Amino acid sequence: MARYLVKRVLQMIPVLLIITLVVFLLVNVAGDPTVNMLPLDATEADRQALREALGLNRPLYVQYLDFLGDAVTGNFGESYRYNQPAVELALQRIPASVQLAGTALLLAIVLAIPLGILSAMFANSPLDLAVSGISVLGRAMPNFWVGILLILLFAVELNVLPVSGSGTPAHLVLPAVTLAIQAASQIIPLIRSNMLAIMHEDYIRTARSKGLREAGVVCIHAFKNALVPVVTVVALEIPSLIGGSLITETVFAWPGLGQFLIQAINNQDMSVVQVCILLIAVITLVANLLADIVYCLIDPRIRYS
Amino acid sequence: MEMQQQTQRKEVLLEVDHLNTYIKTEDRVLQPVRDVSFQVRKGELLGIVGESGCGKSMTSLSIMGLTPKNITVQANHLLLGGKELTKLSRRELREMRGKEMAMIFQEPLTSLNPLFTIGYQLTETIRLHNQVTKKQAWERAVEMLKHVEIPRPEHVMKEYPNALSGGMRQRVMIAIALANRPSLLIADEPTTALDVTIQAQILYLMKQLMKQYDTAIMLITHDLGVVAEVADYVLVMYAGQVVEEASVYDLFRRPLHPYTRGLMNSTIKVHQSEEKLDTIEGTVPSLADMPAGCRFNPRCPFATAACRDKEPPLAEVLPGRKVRCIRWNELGGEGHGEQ
Amino acid sequence: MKKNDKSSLAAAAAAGPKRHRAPRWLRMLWRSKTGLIGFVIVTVVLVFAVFAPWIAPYDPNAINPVDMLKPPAFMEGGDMRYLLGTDNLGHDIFSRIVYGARISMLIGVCSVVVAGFIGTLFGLLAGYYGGILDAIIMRITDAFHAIPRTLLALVAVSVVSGGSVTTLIVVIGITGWITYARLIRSEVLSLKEREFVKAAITIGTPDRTIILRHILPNVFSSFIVVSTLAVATSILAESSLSFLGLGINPPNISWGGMLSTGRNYLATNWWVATMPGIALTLTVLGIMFLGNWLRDLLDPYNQGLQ
Repeated sequence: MARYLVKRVLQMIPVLLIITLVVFLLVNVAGDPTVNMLPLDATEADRQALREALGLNRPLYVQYLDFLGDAVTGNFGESYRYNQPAVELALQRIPASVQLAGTALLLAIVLAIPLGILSAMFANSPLDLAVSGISVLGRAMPNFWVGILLILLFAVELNVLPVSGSGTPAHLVLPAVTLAIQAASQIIPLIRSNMLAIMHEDYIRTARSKGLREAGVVCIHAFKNALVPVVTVVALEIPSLIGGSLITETVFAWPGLGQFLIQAINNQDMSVVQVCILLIAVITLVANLLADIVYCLIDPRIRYS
Repeated sequence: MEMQQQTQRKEVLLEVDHLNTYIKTEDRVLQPVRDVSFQVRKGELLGIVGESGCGKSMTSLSIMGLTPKNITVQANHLLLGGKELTKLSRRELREMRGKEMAMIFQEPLTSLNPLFTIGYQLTETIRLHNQVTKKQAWERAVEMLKHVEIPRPEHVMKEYPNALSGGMRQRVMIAIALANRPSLLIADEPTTALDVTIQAQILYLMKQLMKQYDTAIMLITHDLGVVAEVADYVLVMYAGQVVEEASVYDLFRRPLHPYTRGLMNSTIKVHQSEEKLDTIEGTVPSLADMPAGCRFNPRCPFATAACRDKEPPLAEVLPGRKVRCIRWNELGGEGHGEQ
Repeated sequence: MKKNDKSSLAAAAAAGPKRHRAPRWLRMLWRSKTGLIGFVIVTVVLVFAVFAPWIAPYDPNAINPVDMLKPPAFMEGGDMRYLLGTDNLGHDIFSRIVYGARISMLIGVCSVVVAGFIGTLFGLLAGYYGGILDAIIMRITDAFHAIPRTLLALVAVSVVSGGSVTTLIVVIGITGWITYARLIRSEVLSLKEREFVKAAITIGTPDRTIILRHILPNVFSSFIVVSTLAVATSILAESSLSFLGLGINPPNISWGGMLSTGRNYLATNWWVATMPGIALTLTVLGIMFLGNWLRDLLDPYNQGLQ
């Protein structure tokens, strides 16, 4: 198992290199980093002088290596808008995002596991149809639209929760629920189909032949097996959860990394954009690694291979 | 001789009377088991033989009450130790499973839950049916592993199934099944997935434990060799029906049904090595497409118009011997047991 | 172990199968209610998209200050002229939804073509040739997987500074290729183990022929199923970009953009946001239903029952 994990960690290195390359190319080749650094009436000569000063007229690979060197030392330059190091600005926003995404993920798991199991146990019952229907709907609705509906219902009509902002636990409810609905909608059908497949396994028949009650068969023997792929699925959901939180944070004016990043994109504040993308990518990769470790811990089959 | 076999038989443990199973599909109802009746007697090993798809596994699952949801089971009687299984509530039936009747399956590799230790899976069944502490259950489980001749049982208790070979896992399955000393053990192709040398060991172990625990065994197999080795009494099934029933001695001495004879001819015998291996022509009919009349008639070399016309009954043609063939007497001249 | 319907079951078992006349796909469509719903919705949206100018009662961009923020026709104070009401500039919402279908479908389908092409190419290369090429391509997909798709698309659109339809098609297409690459790669890997492909390799058939004749036809059905669902995801991605103001620019109309406008009128005029929201949900739902039905239809393990 140790060897497998070492291999996984080593695999992260080329992945990170590719990510930095993608980010670098996007910002420096597809776009023009100087676009917002100069007043609108700047002349071509001014622009050229700025490019010279920033080293943008050097060969691309030199610039990339330079960027890479800076990235390793945590130096991504300053936000032109705030005149502060981009890394510091981004790191300040992380706790709020972790609070939101963490609450949402927890809520999603707590919702999805029992609902997924119940709809598999009572496949094609009204309960299953309702659960499956809601999760299909959750997948068919972009999360800003779910957010708007929740605002319409709970903030505008019922007036029980704040429309947007942060500060009190009440502010966390709507954005967390919005994200949780999105994540749970993805997880529920996977748990359901896993459970359905597992219920046909030979060891389930063995458990029944021992005289175990059905609830024991499901909750002990099937559940642990169903959980194995769920760990992976939850990890795979993390990028889309983060992607979703970009928009959700914007809709609910939640002061996290997502909202900050969207503002930076709108302002063409590219050093901030670069830092945020790399941060998000690293978080995702680490989350996937953690999922692999958990996977190894609950499935003895991995340990033997 | 035949009379003798009959009188030696013991008290009835399991009585299956007119067992039928139905599967509802998209546009029709299929019947994998059709009017199957037989008995298992105390301390006896009944072999049920037939090709795959003949309904033998479905019969055993019906007795255990483990048929899939889409299958309807009907029977006049399913009596185990005097208890009418058809009349039990789901809970009562569940309490019988693992205690009064237990089952082991064909695939030892997949029949044990890969995420739980052997110890957990073995003590689970002990604790389920007995008021014992964890420690007592553990000790009893170790004892069981010793009985099924697993080396280093204390160590194996802490292992996951993946650490064990197929033969070892089947021994564990037998330990689980016999842990509560059931009166009936159903073994569905218990040795099919194993190496030949291991097969013999497992069969020998089962036969030995059967005496030790006073358990009757219903052994389901497609292999007449296995039956000849261990069975006391044999039921031959074909296309969801019983086609022949006899003591193992009678059956091999003189098979009455053309299908049984076909099965015997297609088993290689040592002194027959230079002759060509006879096989039964054709394949088992599918459930959706059963022939009219005798179900074996399209593959039977002796079939006549009468065979195609009307389904033959399962008749007791000799004392203690039943056969579902109208021409058994005309064909029964050359016995294969004497070859 | 019920005894009640014994005779009826035995009788049914004795009877033969019923006969069918309609082709299998039509029977399956009729039986699968969700498939039928999906089929109907997608047809309607496609008709909207193709015939928008003939279906929309008004110019979707016609500003009409007199009829600003009119509620839908079925509500109190509604105007029969405006079926789904009007927005803050007096645009007819129904007309805008009809034209919005055009953008959704155009971007949804075309970006999937782009993603499918790139992804299939890389998936084939990785799966068929394996080795170092496979390792590189798989690390690239890992890298793309680690960055949320919406984020990558947002940054890409913002650096090329423009929300033209072509830009969005390319950007959404490029950010969606990894699904295909991974799918095709795994299919190719399993096909390579199959006898007919092994045989073709053994007798020295050129790679090109093996890929075209033996591999591509066999990945087709999963390709179609994935593509249908990918259209739904692409439509969602486009609406998200437009909602954030980095997608479709006027005069083109996007449901995501309409939702973004409506967000400012939630407290007073809920229909401005809700109508395009419903259109978006129904369309995506319809495509997903159709995709699930196609999956059941094309699944070889599903040919008998269901």
